[in-house]
Parts: sequence; structure tokens; C-alpha cells
Amino acid sequence: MKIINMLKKILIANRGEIAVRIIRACNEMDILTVAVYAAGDESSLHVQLADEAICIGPRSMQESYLNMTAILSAAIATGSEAVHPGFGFLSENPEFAARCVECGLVFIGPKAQMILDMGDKARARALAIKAKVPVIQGSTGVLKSVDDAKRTAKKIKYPVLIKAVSGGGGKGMRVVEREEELEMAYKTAQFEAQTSFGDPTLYMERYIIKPKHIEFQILADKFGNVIHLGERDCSIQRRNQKVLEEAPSIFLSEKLRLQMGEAAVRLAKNVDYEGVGTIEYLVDAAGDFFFIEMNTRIQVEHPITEMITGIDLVKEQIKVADGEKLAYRQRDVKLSGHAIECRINAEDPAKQFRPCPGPVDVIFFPGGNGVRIDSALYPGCSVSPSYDSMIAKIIVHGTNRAEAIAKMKRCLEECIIGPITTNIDFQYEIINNTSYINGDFDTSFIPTHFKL
Amino acid sequence: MEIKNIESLIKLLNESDLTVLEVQEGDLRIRIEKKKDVVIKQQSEYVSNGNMDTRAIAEVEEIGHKVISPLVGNFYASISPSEPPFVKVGQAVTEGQVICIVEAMKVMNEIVAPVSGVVRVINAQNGAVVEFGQVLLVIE
Repeated sequence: MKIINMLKKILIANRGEIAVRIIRACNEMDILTVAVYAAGDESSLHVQLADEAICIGPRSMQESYLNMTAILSAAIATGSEAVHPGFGFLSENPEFAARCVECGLVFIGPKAQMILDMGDKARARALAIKAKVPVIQGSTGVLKSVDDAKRTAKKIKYPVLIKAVSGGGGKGMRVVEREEELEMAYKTAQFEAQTSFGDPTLYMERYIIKPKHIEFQILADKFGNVIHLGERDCSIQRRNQKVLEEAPSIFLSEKLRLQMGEAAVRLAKNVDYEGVGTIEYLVDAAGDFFFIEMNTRIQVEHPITEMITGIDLVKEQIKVADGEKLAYRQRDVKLSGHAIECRINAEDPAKQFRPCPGPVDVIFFPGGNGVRIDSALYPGCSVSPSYDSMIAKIIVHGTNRAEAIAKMKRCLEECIIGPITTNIDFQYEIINNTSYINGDFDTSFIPTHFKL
Repeated sequence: MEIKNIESLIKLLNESDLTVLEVQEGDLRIRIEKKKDVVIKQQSEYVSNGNMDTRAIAEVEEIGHKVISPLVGNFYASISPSEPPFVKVGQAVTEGQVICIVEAMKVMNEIVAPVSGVVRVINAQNGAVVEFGQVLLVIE
């Protein structure tokens, strides 16, 4: 039975460029939007663009963008029918997803149980194994003690990677090359996991040397239909944070793409997934792929998938949440051309990438054929020290990778943001790097080519 | 009075040698002084069902203690629709006295008077949505 709610008003529980992205999609679908903001954030673009805006708390994130009660209260008070959590903040908080539903609001994302399952990395790994998706050799479940860790490491062979079950953003991870280092690594990873995520539980995987990080975008409706929209190569990372992404990956053969795509869809189907999601894989030099985790939200780098498929992922999220069946079958998805995204951050690469908040008086964004800018900047705005340093995404689409690179080069040359310091020149060095241009890169690219 | 008219008045005052400008229009009296901090608060009223019924309630005087909402929710002037409001304009209140309620997620949060004095302005409509930081009442 088709249940179409025809959502009329959506509250966006986020800020910055993703909030702007969601507001724009809603606007095009004739859906009213409600922006929420913390005190001090009233001049932000998302507040200005939404149909309504409501202040939900003081400057502190805990009391505003992470304040579930305030957000739910604002949603109910404004008559919103749904909440879009964006990425970060409460987007992968199962309690928030559950509370939205309890309050009669549509949560634009998967069910709370799904978020819970995939948020626990060891559990996600177990689900992948069940779905016959290849995983990296590792511990069966969680590590119970240092001795258990030693036994596991011996079995799967060094080098190993100790990871936090509730982890993310590269925290609570330690590479261990030999047994002598294991006890110390175990204890420090545990401590980091406890302080960062409130959960000291660890698991272990074989450490893959110089892997590529390739992720698959999936889209699922509430009727069991699941498709994938190709991959994104996110190997260009600094300290486990993505810097530049591209789609498709020049490393994947058609055969590998098929296998990895099918595995992603199989996993999503197995867990009755709903909405957009991303299956992250590591691919080793031999071309073997391994599931590492699943992200149950819209991702920062979603635009490059949109450019090569022509499918608007945020609109699809809303349609799925609204009870619509997928309008596409797998065979309808065609990957065309090549897209690259550069994340522009308010940071100083020369000073250990220290964040550089401050006024933005001058902005000139590049334009032209195949250029897309996702940003919440406008001349005269201010980059706040309270939030993430990512201030813009420059996205290009060309008929092939060489053209996409040429476009991105041009865009980085044209782009002016000031007087704050940004990583534009750093991105420029990457895009002009010979190894990058030749497609000779993996997750060790930045540490290898840049002395930082 | 429209917000753009108030802006025109401020501009007028700034460009002149005057230090005080007072304008009365019906029940609304606006007084703008150059040396003091000019306080302009524009409050919007949210009506659900998507009606954009926004009324600007301009309050332009630094006359007393502003009671601001500590959370986002619905403002209620009385404990229930059948009961009389907690306070009226002109009524004396003592510090700690309950003066209104802001309801969020079915939890009634009692707002108490931070100072003793007289209620000069009630800045929110009964049942309306108020945001964090919004001025609810002014006590002199």
C-alpha cells in the first residue's frame, strides 16, 4: 500500500552548507522549510533562506544543534511534519530518530534500529558477514582483554588495527605493527574511545597497507527496493578526514564495480534499509575489497554522485521518507562523465591546519560549464569558531577525468575567499600533483607527498 | 507601525541634531534616544498550518528588566485556558513569582519573575511559539 504523506513542512536540524542544500531541495519541491539556529548564528545563510527560522538555544552546541528536546519542540511548535537531520549533529543519533517518530514526526533517514546497528562498528561488521559481504580479517566481535587482543592479532597476523566500536572521525584507532606494542596501543585506544565516544569497547582488523577508500552510494525505499548509484573514491585524506573526492574511481574495473555494488545492495536489503546510505570499503593493491562501515545519512561528498548520475539525492531522501517508491531501477542508473569535489576549509595548512574563523568580506566563486558550488558563504558573513571549518565545496563535472581535473584547476585559480585563510592553495597543489593526475594514489597520498 | 518606518525614524534622528524623537500612533508610542542604547525587538508569531501571520510587536524602550525565554516552545499566559492569566500589564509582581509558562514537549516550564516590580509589557501572545532568547515580559 502506498502511503504518501505529501510532506508540506520540514524542519532542518542542521546549519551551514548542508542546511542550505536541504532548504533548496525543499523549496524546489514546494515544501515549506523551518531553520533552527543557536544564539549568535542568526545571520547564517540557512536562517535567511528558510521560510521560517526559530532560535532554539544559546551558543553552545549541546544546548542548540545537539539539543533534541529543543529541536523537537521547535518542530512541533512550527507545525513541521518532518525533520531532516543533515549530516553530523544528530543525524546518526538513534535516540533522536526514535524520539522524532514518537512525536509523530517523520525522520528523514533510516529507522532508529538501523542507525543503532550500523553505528556499532562491530555489529555492522557482523551484519556484513551475514550478508556475505567481504570484511577485513579481524576479531569475532569485540576484544575482551589485552590477552584476547594478542591472541586475535596472532591469528590474523600483524600489522593490525585496533578500532573503537563506537568510533568515527579516525579517533580511537591504533595501528600495531608487532606484539610488543599491542598492550600500550590497546590501552590508549580504549582511553581515547572512552573520552571521545563514552564507550571503551574495541575490536580489531587486519591493517591494510596503502588501501584505497572507495564507498558506494545506496538508495532504498520503504518497499524493499534498493539500488546503488556507483562509487566515490575518497582516498585523498588527511588524518582520516576526506579532503578531495571523485566519482567514479579510476581504479575500479567494470567487474569490480559490479561486485562491490551488488554487495552494497545486498547488505542494505538484508537490513531492510530505508533512505540514503553509504557502504564504505577499503580496496587493497590486489583489488580485493573489504567492508569497513556503513554511514546511515546523507554525506558531505554526495554532490559528485549527483553530478555523474543526474539523481538528486536530497530530493530522493525526502521522497522515500514521504512513502514514495523508488522511481529508478538499477538498470536506469547510468554513470556519466567524471566529477571531483574539493572541500574548502577555513584553515591554515602552513600552521598544522589550524582553523581560521573570521570575517569573509570578499568572495568570488568560480563558475562556468560543469561547475557547482555548495556553500553557506555570502559577502559580509562570518565564519564562526564554534562550528566545523568546512565553508564551501567546489564540485566540477567533466566528460572524463582529465577534463574534470582541468576544470577543478581553473576553479581553484579563480576562487577568492578572504580575508580568512583557507586551504584553496593546498587543494591546488593536490590537483596539480603528478601522482594524483596519473591516478597513482591511495590513503597514504597526503602524508607521502606533503610535509605537514 | 511597520519596521521600515521605525528604521526611517532612526535614520531621521541620526541625521539630525536631535537627541530624542518621540512618535505616537494610536496606542503605540515610540521613543528613540540617541545617547542611550536603542533597543528594538521584533517578535514574530508563528501560526501552524503554514499561515504566515507575522505580526511585529515592536518594543522600543530600555525601561526595565526583560524576562527572556530560556527555551523554545509555546507561551502560555495562564495555567489553563479556563484560568485567568498569571499576571496583567500594570500588575505588581514579586521576585520568584510565576509569571508565565513556556511549554516544550508537553513539559510545562514555569517562568518566574527575576525581580520585583510592575509588569509593563507582555510581549508574547497566549499559545504562540516563542524562541530561545525571546523577550516574554518586561518588569520595571
